[in-house]
Amino acid sequence: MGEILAPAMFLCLVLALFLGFPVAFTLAAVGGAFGIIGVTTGYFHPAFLINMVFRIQGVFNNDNLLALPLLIFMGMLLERTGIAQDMFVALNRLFGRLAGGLAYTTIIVGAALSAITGFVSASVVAIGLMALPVMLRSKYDPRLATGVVAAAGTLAQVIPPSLVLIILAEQLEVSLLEIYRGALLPAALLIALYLLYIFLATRCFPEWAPPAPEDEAATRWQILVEVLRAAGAPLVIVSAVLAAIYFGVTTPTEGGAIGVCAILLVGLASQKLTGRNLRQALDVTGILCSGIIFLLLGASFFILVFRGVGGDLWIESLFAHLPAGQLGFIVFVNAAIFVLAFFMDFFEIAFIVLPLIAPLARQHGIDMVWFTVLLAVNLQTSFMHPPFGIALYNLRSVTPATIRTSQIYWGAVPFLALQILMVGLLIAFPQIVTRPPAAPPTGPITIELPVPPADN
Amino acid sequence: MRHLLDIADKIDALNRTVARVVRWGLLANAVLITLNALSRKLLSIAYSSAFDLQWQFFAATVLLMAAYTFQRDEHVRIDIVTEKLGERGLAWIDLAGICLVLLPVCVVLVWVSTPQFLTSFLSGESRATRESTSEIPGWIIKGFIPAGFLLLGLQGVAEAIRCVACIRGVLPRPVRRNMLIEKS
Repeated sequence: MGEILAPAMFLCLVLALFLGFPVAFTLAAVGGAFGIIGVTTGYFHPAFLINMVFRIQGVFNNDNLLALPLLIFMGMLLERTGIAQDMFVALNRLFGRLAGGLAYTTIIVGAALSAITGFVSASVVAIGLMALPVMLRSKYDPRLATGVVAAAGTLAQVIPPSLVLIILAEQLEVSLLEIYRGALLPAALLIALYLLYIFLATRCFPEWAPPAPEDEAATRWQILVEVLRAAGAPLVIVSAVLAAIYFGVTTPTEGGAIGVCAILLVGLASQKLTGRNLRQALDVTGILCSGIIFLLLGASFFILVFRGVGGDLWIESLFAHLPAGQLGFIVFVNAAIFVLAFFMDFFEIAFIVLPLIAPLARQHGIDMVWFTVLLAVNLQTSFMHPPFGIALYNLRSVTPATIRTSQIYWGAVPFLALQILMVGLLIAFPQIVTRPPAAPPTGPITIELPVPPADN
Repeated sequence: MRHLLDIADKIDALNRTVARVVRWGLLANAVLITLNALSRKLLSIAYSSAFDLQWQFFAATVLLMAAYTFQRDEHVRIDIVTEKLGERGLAWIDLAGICLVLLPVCVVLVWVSTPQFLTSFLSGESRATRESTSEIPGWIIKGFIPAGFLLLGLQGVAEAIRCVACIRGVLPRPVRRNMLIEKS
């Protein structure tokens, strides 16, 4: 009986999910239905299911999750008050004369908005609305323009303090701080790769990205002052929050809260904060947050029952046939997640799939911090691949109809290649994430033991 | 049908009002956490109850805004298969989902969590634990759980009414999906 129950439960879930009812409730209902079957067949005691109430209460004692609303709020404030938009416009004046200047700016602003970019749907729309019209008006090649927006909108998944990393840390039970530290270098590398690509592409095909006409009215100094005024404060706040978390001065939650207050002050000082956009930011934050936590609750109930009917043993037995040990496991998991992302959003993958895989990764003796960062980069890749990549799908909703969907697809391809290159780099050189432990001192080591004082 | 649709509108208004009040908890929480952090770092003063208050705000926003999130149709769906079904097809799916999935889940959770809330309320327990000397009563968060699921269930009833209205051709359902960030 038990051998059938777990696969049946999984199959039911897949079928039910594709019906398109909100995932959080579907998960809970499948869990509940199989919970009843489990109880009636004597698989477990009803009290086992009551555990769920304690899990709900446990969510409201979890420090990492408390950081979510604050980081989302911070990102939404930057977006709604127009501070992000001003930052974009100002940086444009700085880089606009360069070929591809708008593209560089988009990538940088995308990185700075990292806090909301966990939500592919929110960030791609936000950055698309901001950058796409400007690039198209400047006669940028639509493929380059849309590709840059898709990349920038998903980029900050791997840049601390991203929501994605918080959720991954939570699901894989790794220290959040270690993940933030581990992700910093790969994130920097990724940004560098993007910028390098834009540089090379605009060198080879100057007609893709014509520079903006010279602005005669303003001197170089005036522009610089303007850039500092518009982009200085938000960039300083975002990087100060990141640094404070990185060096352990504040917890991610406190960092997020301080960031929110700082941006509120900037918004007040520059009179950009109005009651209307504050209310909108609060609204969106509450909705996104509630959505994630309910998904987490639904998934955690599903996983609870799934483990109860022996699902983890079943998954383990599936993976037992996999050849090539650690490397085989890594390659398989990454390929599987790449495919799953055709259909699923990040949060669904993180809450349903990862809890099942995490114990296996531990058994293989894989460094979990490295594994987490690898998954984050891979998940970003998955959102950009045609034809279903969620980033492209959302991008479509903000691009004018004159741009063909095929152009959006082709625009994403070079960035997709860079992402896959990055996944390969991470697998080949895990040192990018995990610093090698300090080399043991060479030469003879002398240890001096204090001689215990003689008793007199 | 008209009468039922009025009820649906009233439920919408109720949950909208709740969300409009509760969302300020997010702002309050940001300020509270900042103050807590500053007083801990700079003055080395930390009040257990003030730290615990953070969780009350967090729980309130998440649990009490779930119904509003459902109203705005922002609970994530996997809709690449069903989006081609058209309005009536989607209404059938949502109606079935609400009756078979959402309402049972809400009923069970209200039923299971209410006794815990009542026990906590009547015994007057606080949230003090081994790590914390918080004096905030424990029933507050335990009360948000049944309240949140009750509101969610109500919103489910409202949406079910709209689905029926749509299927019977009385009134098309308002489009609310993918309207999170205003594209004006």
